[in-house]
Amino acid sequence: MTLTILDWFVIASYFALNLAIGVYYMRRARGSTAEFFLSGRDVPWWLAGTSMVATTFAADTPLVVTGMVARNGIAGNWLWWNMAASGMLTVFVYARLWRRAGVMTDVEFAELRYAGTPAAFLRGFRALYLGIPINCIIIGWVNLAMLKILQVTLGLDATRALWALLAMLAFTAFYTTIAGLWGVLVTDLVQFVLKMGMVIALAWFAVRAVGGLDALTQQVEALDAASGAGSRLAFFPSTDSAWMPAITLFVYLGVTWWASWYPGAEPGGGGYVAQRIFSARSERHGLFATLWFNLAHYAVRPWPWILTALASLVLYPSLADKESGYVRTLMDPAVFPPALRGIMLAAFAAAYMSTIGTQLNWGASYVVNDCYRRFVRRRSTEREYVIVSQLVTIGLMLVSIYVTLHLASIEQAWKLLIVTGAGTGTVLLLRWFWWRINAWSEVSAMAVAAAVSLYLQVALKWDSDRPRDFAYIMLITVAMTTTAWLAVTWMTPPEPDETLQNFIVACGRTAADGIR
Amino acid sequence: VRRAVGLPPGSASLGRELFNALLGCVLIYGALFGVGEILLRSVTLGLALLAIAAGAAIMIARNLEPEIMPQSAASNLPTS
Repeated sequence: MTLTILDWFVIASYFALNLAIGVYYMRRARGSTAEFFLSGRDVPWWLAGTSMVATTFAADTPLVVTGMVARNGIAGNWLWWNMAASGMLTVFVYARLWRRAGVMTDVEFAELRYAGTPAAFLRGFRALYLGIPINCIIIGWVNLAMLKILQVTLGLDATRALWALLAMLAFTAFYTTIAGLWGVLVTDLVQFVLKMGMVIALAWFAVRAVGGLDALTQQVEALDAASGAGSRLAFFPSTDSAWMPAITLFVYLGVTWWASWYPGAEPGGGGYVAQRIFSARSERHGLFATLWFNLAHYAVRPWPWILTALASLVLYPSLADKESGYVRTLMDPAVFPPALRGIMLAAFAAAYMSTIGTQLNWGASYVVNDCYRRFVRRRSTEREYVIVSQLVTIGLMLVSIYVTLHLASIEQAWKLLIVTGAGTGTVLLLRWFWWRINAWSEVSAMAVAAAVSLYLQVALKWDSDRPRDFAYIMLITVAMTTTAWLAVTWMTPPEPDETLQNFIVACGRTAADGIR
Repeated sequence: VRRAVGLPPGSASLGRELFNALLGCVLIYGALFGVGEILLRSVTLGLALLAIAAGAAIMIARNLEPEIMPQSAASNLPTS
């Protein structure tokens, strides 16, 4: 794809705007870790919510959705649409509790709710595990996806694309390091408006290229009739489909959303979503931020992607790599005006940078607040903690580069590691309401979930990529994990009264319901 | 424990919050499939789904109203 001087000017302007935002917030971010990681807890709902949804919209997300639609139709999106109930629980039950808790990170919550060494272990382990390996693997995936997009759109060879990617990564790390969360939030807003505007524009041009909406549906129906594989326009999967058999659909709709922990979709909220709730101006702003995020995430974003995906099926029916159909539409001069290519590439950069900025700042918050300040230097100046936060942000960027270059060999480990979250959702949801839950409840849930899942996957060779296997792994893991943590809870003493009282005072009336 | 820290017995707000979460699902899926119907299938059904989503939003707003008042007792609690 050839770019003109005007295209490069647009792209340069986009980067300059992000840099200007970073420089603008530089002084404020240096004030304290509360400013660097939580924007002084003074963020309005619309900014915090937009930042959440901007983060979940990575450069490769439209391509992934295109692949889902091509393989399994619109209904293929139920792989992520099923999580809406979890999001709504977070909005209406947990968002205000998180804001009220007054913590800086969600892993810090362990030492608000529990006492002693087990609580400190939970906090430290989660901070390091999530902040460094899990976080850097996520950044690595986003990096690899952007690498492919750069190669395809700009026609760069692998080496040049890698340098371009590293430049973008370093640029994002720079403004995140100097401007902290304020820089991330405000650039997220700009980036979300830009990328959402461009995916809507691309959808409009793509639909126009196939002759309008009616022509689009007729041509997709004709393709489906020819293939005999069922309608890709159906909103719901048929119960006998190979990719989503009834048992798997039941598990997705009835179990996964509350039982399974996954980065970005934590039962009861967590991760960068919780970070933005903590940064909100008030409980009310925290609630509305999360509500806006879920509305934008599930109801606003998908249709432009889906329309472009359907149009790409019609326009390029013989394309082997269906995901690349999305990029093909924007590179096709018969579909997308070449004059808009510069701003479209800026939109892809925006999608990449919004995710990276958040991951770097959020990961650094764990390492500094829950390891360095908690276990290494308990009483130091805010100035020192901010400097360490900036150094950790840069360090995470460097580790993520190493992970990106070795991701192929790491990916299998991720697949096994991530199952440690399957079945732990119940304890995460109930710990706010049931006084009897203690730190050992959480430790045992994590340990049993990991042991059961690994046994099923490694010893019995069940493959979580196969829909039925996934359903059985989930059901067995949830049942055994729940039984185990309940048994451990009753076999171990409750938390001391003083800890429970402090928790109730911190979290107010609703969190304490159910506590004796 | 609640008495020890000077709080009244547990409130009944959890039920209302869970009901709001249910209404939130109606709002999200109503909006999602309402827009999808209008774009790809039936405008009438799409508008009906959007109306249901709007109804859910109104009910949520009514349920939330007493809870999001800035001077609520909960907002005045100390935050340790």
